[in-house]
Amino acid sequence: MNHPHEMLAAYVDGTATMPERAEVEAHLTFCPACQEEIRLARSALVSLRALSEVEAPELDRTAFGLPGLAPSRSEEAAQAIWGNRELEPAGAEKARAGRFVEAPDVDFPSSSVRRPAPSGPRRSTPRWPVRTAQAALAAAAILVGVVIVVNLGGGHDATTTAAATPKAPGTAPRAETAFGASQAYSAATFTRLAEDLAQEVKDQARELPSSPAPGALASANSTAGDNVISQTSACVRQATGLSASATLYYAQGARYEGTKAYIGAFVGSSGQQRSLIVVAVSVDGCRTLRYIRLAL
Amino acid sequence: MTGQGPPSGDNSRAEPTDAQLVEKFRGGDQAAFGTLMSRHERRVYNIAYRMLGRPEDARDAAQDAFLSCFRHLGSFRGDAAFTTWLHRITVNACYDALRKRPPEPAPIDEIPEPAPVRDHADRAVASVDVHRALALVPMEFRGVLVLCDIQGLPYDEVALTLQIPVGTVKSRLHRGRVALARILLGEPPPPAEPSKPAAGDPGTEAATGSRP
Repeated sequence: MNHPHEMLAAYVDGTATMPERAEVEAHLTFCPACQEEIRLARSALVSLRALSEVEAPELDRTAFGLPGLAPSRSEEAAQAIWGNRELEPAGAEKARAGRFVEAPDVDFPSSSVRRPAPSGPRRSTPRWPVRTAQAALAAAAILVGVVIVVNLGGGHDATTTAAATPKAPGTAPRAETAFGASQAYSAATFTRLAEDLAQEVKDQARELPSSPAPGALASANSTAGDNVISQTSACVRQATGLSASATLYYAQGARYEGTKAYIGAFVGSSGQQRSLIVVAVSVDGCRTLRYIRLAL
Repeated sequence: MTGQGPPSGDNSRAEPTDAQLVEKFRGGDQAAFGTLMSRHERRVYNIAYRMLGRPEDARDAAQDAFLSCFRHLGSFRGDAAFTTWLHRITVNACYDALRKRPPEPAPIDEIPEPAPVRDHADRAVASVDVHRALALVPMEFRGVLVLCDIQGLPYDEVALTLQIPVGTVKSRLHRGRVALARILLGEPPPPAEPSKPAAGDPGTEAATGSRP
């Protein structure tokens, strides 16, 4: 009997296409050995994804003739890495013209929303994604908040309610939106997005005496923003079972490696360890395209 | 891919991409290598730590990886992303370390892991056990497990990094996951493959990144 090992890997981590899933399920109906392997592989995947990133020790830079950059976390080096900058949203394939990928379909939800820092914008320059004039206008309007109740203790009481919460004047959120189906990520720029979001969350936590209240994801463009939030949540939940137990921090419709995708960043914790999970799931079929977990 | 990181764009203070830093380094700007190192060292170290198990071995391998990167950056052609190349060098440095190491029991004195994790099926799996179990998984599976399931890299990227076909990535990934799960259940580890390198196991000549 031929066991489809290659497809089993994709089946287990949610990246299999519909025809692949069908073929695997057909095989599983008469292969108890593969059924057992699927169970084992699933539990291994969960265990591996639960591992946190560890802190790296100082690496010796003197071998590279770089005395001026030791220690590696000097303020200048940190600023170079995490300071004001515009990040490339588009995939870096040479065939694409300019910075942005223009997708032919305009019906694709492309706004992104982000939980605001209660202490206000940390940087004057918007970092990710690009702010447009329309977003700036919308930011002054009354905002609709989507409240996601979080239960981090392992239970399953997560509920999602939409509440109209007018923002007090003077506390404009950092919500940013990108318009046009022009956000596209490659594998490499997606990794960078995840790392940047993790740093953002870490920075916000440092500025606040305690964790921000769960939920309160505000949208500058209420309709498009709500759509992105709810669609991202639903699709990621279907693909990974994740959003029932974690706080949604960032949601975006974009392309990942050319595929229309919902991108969600979730903050969760187990015990003392907080993590950021950044996931891209395909709009079509809610398949996991990419899954990154970073320690906070 | 032409490299990651932000473009130069309209904002003159924007941070350079990896590709731009490589060019600056080639143009004589040594400090550009330091920026590259700061940007990627945490990830490089984490790959090595999960592949090798012991912090001191991981540190040595990460150091070796950056040294190799530094020495060969001049000949890096840029037809793969810088990170693909750097990750390849890192994994090679880990394989070199593993080959030199005599077979040993599970490492002790690892970095303390966070409290046991509850996955969404509500089972608790202690992270320290997972880390130890990973050290018992056969070598040829460990690279894909670390790159795919811990680093979250997509199959295509891992295939480029390890210079093996995507199908091989998936097949090793599945078998690696099954092996890890069996180890966590307390079953004896699978028998070691014969000492010849597994198909696609990058040899030391790939440290120069000479193949695209």
